Amino acid sequence: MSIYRSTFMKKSFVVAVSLAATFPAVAAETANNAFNPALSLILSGQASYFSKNPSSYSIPGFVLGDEAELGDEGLALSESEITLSSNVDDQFYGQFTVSIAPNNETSVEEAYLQTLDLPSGLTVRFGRLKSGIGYLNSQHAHTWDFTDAPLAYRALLNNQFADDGVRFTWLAPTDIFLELGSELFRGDAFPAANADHHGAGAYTVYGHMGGDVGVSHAWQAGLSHLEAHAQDREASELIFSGDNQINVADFVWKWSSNGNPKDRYFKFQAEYLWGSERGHYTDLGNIDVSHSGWYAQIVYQFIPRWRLGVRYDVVHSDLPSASFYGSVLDPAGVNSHRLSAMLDFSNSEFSRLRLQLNRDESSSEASNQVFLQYQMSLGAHGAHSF
Amino acid sequence: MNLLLRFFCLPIFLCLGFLCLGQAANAALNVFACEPEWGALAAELGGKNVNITIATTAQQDPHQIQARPSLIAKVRNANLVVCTGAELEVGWLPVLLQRGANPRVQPGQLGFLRQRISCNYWVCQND
Repeated sequence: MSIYRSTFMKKSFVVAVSLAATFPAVAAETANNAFNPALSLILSGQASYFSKNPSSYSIPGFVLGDEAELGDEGLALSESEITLSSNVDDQFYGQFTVSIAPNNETSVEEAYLQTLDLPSGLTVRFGRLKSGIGYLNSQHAHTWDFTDAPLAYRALLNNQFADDGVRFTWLAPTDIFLELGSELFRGDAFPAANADHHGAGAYTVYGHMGGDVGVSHAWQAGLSHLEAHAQDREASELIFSGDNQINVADFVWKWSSNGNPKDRYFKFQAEYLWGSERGHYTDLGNIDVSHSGWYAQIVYQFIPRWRLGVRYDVVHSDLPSASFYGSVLDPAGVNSHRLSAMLDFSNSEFSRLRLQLNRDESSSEASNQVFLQYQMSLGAHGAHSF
Repeated sequence: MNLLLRFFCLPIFLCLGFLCLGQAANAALNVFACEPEWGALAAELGGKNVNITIATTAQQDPHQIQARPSLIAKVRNANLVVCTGAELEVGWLPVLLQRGANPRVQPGQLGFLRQRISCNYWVCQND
């Protein structure tokens, strides 16, 4: 390094620090725009093996949305995802996520704006957004601890509930975390459908609480309610008009030695979903049925970079009435459940390789499933959400 | 580090001063410090006029922290957030600010202070 260069650097350093000292707020603002907008790309793919043909997959007793399928066998891409995000100005934050499916189909996953300067702990988010119900629903699928969604999410929420709409949240001014939220959605996403003439076909209310216990433990619990109206919804080749109600209770507990998750940590997570469907299926008749499902999972990082996880999940639906006998809504006495185990390795915060084994008994015929998956993140640093 | 600390005293002091002007005489300022050193500095400068929350301990890697619910609740009530910057808290501080619903401590406001703007090579060399 030349003398000139090092003197220059020293000078710039002193100037920068003095500037920061004189105009701290201005300096911070410049920093926020230095990488504006933040850009990140998620590359993901896997090799999958199914002992039973995945294209005939169904969960007896449930109609499934278009996302709730097993995916392709063999080597295949998962969705690639591009996210752009930034503070728009001092009042708004914006995020845009587009995903490209392996068949080259592009879809806007999320495109929302969020307020930054409302008083009294209020926040409004609007655009296309993943609903804040439950625990997993608002997270991007690539941050999940398992390759696939829990059965209850697959059967009741089409993997994840997201739609165009607006969310209001209020964060209580207390030491314990308490957030209440409510959302109004257009109503075009399963289990809602075709609500164009009504303007709003789904709404949610939810609350989340959380806190720490000592330095090493942290928890979060929540209760959510989703109400969705469907008009001529086509799913599993059946046409439905009516209402769906879904409730979610979620609980997460995390432990790490001294609160430092870098070396070892333990995570327990469970959600219980229950609800009902009331309305009319074309050709089959009126329906008033309740269904439910839950999962519980543990993930343990036993040495840095290596994690082990086990998940068990169950879904259950009642037989609506005799006229549904033999249709996909007939649970046919199947007690749908699945056991999964995974081992993953993260070389850094940006890369992950995962091996997952499923013993899937959600259909009438049991299936063994194996996934060997990669997930890589290029660009902006991901969020360490709880 | 000493040099940086000395230079950083001034902005913290100025911010504390400005923010105190806007507070009732007997109400203490809530300072949210990302790391213990900024907490110690704020305590030194603010004395009993500040309530300090320190987000991390010396036993934790401050980069690997998650945006825990307890931290979001603390940011909600903060008058001043003091952090290192230079992407040290990049995984969790933006989440706290976004979910903390607190306009006083957003980037660009008087209540938000970051020591280092970005980790380009000359600043990092001076650590």
